[in-house]
Amino acid sequence: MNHSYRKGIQLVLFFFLLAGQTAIKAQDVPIDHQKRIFFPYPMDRKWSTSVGFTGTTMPYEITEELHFRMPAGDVHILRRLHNKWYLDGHLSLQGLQNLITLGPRIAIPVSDRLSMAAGNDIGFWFGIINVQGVKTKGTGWQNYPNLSLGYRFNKRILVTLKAESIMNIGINTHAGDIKVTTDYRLFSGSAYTLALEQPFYGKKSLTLAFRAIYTNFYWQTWTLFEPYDRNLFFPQIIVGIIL
Amino acid sequence: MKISITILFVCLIIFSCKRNFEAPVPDTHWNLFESAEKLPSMARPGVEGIYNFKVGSDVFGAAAAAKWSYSANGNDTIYHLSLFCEKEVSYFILEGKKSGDSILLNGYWRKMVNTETGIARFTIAAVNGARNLLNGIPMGAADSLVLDGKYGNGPAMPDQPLRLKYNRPLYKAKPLQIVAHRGGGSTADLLPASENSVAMINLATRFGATGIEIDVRSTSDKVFVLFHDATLNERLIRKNGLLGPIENYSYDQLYTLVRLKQGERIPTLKEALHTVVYNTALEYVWLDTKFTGPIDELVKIQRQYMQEAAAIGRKLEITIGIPDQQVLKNFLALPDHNNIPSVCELTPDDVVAANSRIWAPRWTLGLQNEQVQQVHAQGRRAFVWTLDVPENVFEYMNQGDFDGILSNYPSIVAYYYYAKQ
Amino acid sequence: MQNSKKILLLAACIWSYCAYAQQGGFTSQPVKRGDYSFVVYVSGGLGHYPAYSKDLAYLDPKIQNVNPVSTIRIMWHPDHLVKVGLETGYLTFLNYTLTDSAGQRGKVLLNATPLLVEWTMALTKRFNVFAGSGVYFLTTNLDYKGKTRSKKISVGWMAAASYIQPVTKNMGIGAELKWLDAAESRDGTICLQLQWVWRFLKW
Repeated sequence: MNHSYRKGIQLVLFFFLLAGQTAIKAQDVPIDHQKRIFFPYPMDRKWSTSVGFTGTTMPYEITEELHFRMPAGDVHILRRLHNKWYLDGHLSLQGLQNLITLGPRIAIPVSDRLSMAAGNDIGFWFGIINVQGVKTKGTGWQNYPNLSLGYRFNKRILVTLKAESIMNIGINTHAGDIKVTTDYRLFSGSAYTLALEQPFYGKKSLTLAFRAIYTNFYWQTWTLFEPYDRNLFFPQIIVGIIL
Repeated sequence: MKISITILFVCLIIFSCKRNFEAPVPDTHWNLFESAEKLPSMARPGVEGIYNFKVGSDVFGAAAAAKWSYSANGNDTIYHLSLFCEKEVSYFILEGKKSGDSILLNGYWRKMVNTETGIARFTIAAVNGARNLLNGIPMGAADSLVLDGKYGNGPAMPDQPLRLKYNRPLYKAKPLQIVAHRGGGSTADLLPASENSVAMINLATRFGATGIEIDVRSTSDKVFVLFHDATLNERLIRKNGLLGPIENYSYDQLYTLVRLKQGERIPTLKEALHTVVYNTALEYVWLDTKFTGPIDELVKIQRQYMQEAAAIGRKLEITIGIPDQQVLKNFLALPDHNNIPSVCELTPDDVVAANSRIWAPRWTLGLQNEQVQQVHAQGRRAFVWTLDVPENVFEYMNQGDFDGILSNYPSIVAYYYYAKQ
Repeated sequence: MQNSKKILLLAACIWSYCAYAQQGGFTSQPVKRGDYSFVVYVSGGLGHYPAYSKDLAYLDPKIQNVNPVSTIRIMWHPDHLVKVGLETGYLTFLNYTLTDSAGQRGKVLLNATPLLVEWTMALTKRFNVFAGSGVYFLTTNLDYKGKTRSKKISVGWMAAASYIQPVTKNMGIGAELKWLDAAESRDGTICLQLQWVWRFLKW
């Protein structure tokens, strides 16, 4: 399984590389004309919004025989602040459990095509789910320091590699009246996102991204009350339309 | 171009770093131990007790509960001393030998919440209690008993010091059934045997269990086998191309073609219960009924092995699990269901209808002290399942009134139980 | 890193191949702004699924290392780079015969029908990449001490790269390198297919 994931990921990465390699003859388009969410570049618009979904495959270690992919609505909003600074807000919505993160970014163009950004997002997740007749509740605070590296190919393709550290600075879960966990895992793991952004239907742009999450606590699995301290792998697909 | 290649390299390096988690039992070969003599049986009981870590508490917690268990194989009986520790669900599993007038303990340690493991070696010096133990002198003044040792990480030679000092005897005042989930533990916890295997059942008492829960399914030719999931899958078996419901396959097909994660065959229920009766000291078996057909054949097997256990003087209770209304219906259809030992996960009213010996509510329903006391008043017992978070185990142990706890981590249940005062 | 080296080598080969791609004829790139079309890809070829004799040594297996993979895909080609569509087909992941300790022989086949949502993008006029996700309908066909047919649904993925040589304005033939992976099949199959491409509807 792990071997299989790795091979697949490598193949996808290889195709991403080809996307850049084979676009040499195409007409260049200035970055200012391209909509973006992940790509680290100072904002020219006041707001930038993306709506989409994520699908996260849950590992056997905690979901056992249920080897399923958990979907979530995904809303990503950027707000220009000043010069190279902007705010990055993100909502991951599943109705009964949701995550909101918000944090500043500074984006620095390195060359005509290469740019990078650094940021830090504070996250809060919460959920109320009835599990087999028992009302379970959970909340948690998170922190995601992150770095992004973006490369603009000349065929209106923006490729971004983003690395995040995942810090769980408070996990509180209850099953009925029973307090299950009050946990603090400063270095829970890390996540690596490879995002491709390009023009799509009409004037919109499309984001296709793969996020590899390695963590000992993934907020969407809080109802499982696992005591593991192992960095399990949660592969995540992200699809978004930049409005 | 260069940048693209660089990005590709970075990505490949990052994404190639997927870790395969393993926690292999280290090679515990120790020349001094191999040349030592068998430990006299009279030396064993005095070693059991609660010890305080004088050195090593930062890694394993403040105290440990030391308890012997055995595995019998014909006339050959192997004893293991387990040390159940509080921190990060850690334990030691050791064998004992006599070297001169000292006692040597050799084995390994493991933390269940992660994959940390390593070699552990202890010595009980003559002056630290070994002389008394070896001569069968009661350890009335057992507070002088000291285990000096070292532990290592992974396969490395032990180099980190450990020192444990005897504090008090194990708590046994109010009995508690420590029931290990899936025969002793879950495959996901990277134990040396697969869940629901004969090898795992043999390990259960070393992990602190006094009883086990096993999952019973039926093959297409109506042979009862142990398997948790509804379908064959990569979580539990090695890659062989067989997928789908286990009920689709005959026993011969499963026996020949399927190997569990650690290489074992899928055992029949009879093989599992034979192991319980003749190779272990387990006192209780919970048959988790995961099939929906008639259960009269299951009852016959239950009776057979309870009789076999009684015939050799073994104290053993085997109960049929009633997890849902369909199984309850099948159970109530048995003409003599009132006399069949069962464990019912449904409501107290269903427990009465089935005349179950044990009521077993899910832990998330809470302590339910009032209902537990009502069940006690009816002459029944109450077990709770499946408690894995150490804080909750402690809470249920000390604020609840349950007679048994089902857990994937029997060692932490054992620690909190034996450490009670 | 062994895998990484292989991928890089593959990348270099395909890159060289792409560099010689010729212009004109069928292309998956937008014909002009406002053009929309449906394109069908019919593919057949052979796939390799990693199954090693040593893992199945207890069965004395004879493993068929290469098995047929046939797929059909319909893509919506709008006037922008990214296209979306569906792919299905029929493939064999694992195919082996076994001999038990008593000398009795048996046969195991693990087949699959994928149903995948796919995204594709033309990198040059002839060269396209695909990535998708969806479900696989897996079937085990076992013939050992009786015949057993057992089914399971699994989540899964795919990734592919294809080169298409135009034949007419709306038709082309090509080759596709594809990775098809179902979570429950443990590993994916890597296959090479010949492809017939037809833009059957344009508006």
